[in-house]
Amino acid sequence: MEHQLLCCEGETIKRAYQDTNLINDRVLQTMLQAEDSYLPSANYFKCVQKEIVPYMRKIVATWMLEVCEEQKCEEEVFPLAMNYLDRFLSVEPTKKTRLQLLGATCMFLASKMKETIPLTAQKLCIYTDNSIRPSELLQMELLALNKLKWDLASVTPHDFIEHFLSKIPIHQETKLILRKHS
Amino acid sequence: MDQYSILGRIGEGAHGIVFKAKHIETGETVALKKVALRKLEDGIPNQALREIKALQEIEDNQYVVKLKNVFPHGTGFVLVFEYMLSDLSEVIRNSQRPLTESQVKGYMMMLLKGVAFCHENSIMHREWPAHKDASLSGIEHQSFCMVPGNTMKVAVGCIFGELLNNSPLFPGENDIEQLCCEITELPDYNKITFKENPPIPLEEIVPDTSAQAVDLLKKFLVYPSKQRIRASQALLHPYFFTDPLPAHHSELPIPQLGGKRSHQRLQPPYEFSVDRPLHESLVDPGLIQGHAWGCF
Repeated sequence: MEHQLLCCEGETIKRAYQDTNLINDRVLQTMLQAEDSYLPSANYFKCVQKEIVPYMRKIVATWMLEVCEEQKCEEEVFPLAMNYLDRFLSVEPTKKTRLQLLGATCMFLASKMKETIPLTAQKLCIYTDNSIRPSELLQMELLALNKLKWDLASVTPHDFIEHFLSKIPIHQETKLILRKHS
Repeated sequence: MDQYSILGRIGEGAHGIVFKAKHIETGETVALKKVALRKLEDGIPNQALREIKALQEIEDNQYVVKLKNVFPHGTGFVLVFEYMLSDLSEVIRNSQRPLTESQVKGYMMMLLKGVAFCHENSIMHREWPAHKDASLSGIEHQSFCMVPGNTMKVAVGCIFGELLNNSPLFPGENDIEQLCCEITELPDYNKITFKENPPIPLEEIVPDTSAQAVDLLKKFLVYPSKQRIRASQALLHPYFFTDPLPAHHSELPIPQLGGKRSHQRLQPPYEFSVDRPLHESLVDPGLIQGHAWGCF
């Protein structure tokens, strides 16, 4: 019977449309509350990390954004990956040579959480110019999950955009532009 | 993994092997579910990441299995659940005598309370749980309510029917055969051909069943989800309030896992408390609020 099961869905990824029922103050309050449990510590450069300093975070963040844009990831993937990165660095002293590996791992996880067809380990390794191997990425994935307590449903600034836009009395088209810039 | 000593093998689920084990530090008995990775090259599957999150989100509830911990192991990971003495499919497969009506009501009530709790917490699952020849095999060992959801309520109906009959409601050799009994509105429906299947009246499928049970069953086996009865409403159905009343936990049989022996337990089961009995067996008054009007 199996051979008769023909899949007719195309290659394009179908996205659910925005649920306007979710844009209300009750949801916003819940999100604000939930956000607190996913905040990284503000002073991890001083208190936790010995090698990593702010400019290194900036370099790896810029690289991560480039990868996400080139791979046309869903827009929430990048902020989510950054949240994982900061939360990891808040608890685990990390060598600077492992920072890119960590960045790749965070994108790997964020993409799995948000995308229908997530980034593959192999693809991410290519973006590091093969300086990391897929096996290292998978190991790091387990370490990161452990440090993040397997809790990946972070609330990120991106999640608030729709809520804030809905509160600004402007025209729909202006909203689209504003959304792009935010 | 060194925190646990393995006591034995419980069974095999859809995702991996389940072991009975003891947490060395606390002495607590738990179920360890070892999940092996199917596709090694891409690490932990995204469904697993999302499902673990859903399980973490569920707070303590008597009717929902608790995920106690997750940790990496080898190339995969291990889920630590509270240990359950048995599961519902064992109950149906191994009960020597058919379940009494009161016991069926007791099990249904527990199931619905679990589903209602998950839905209150905005957790639903769209997995079709009716596997193979027994709709219960999809609901594994520990997970009374690990995969609740919208289709789940059709599934609740299937389980209900199975409890009433002591055999699967829609026996099918495979998922596809099972589907033909129920789904005709999906866009790809015509891609698979079925024999013409005239509907069989439910009364014939579940003979020897009270009119109220058939009425409730009908309310579950409705394809459009909006018309299907909600778990919280179902708990208020007259079925649960007419004689024989739902059995209390302590009156429900617990077959041995592995199915070697099945016997009516005479002692109160594990975690039975005299402070709890009556109101736990009845409907939580909180559930009535807001529903009592339109329900009957």
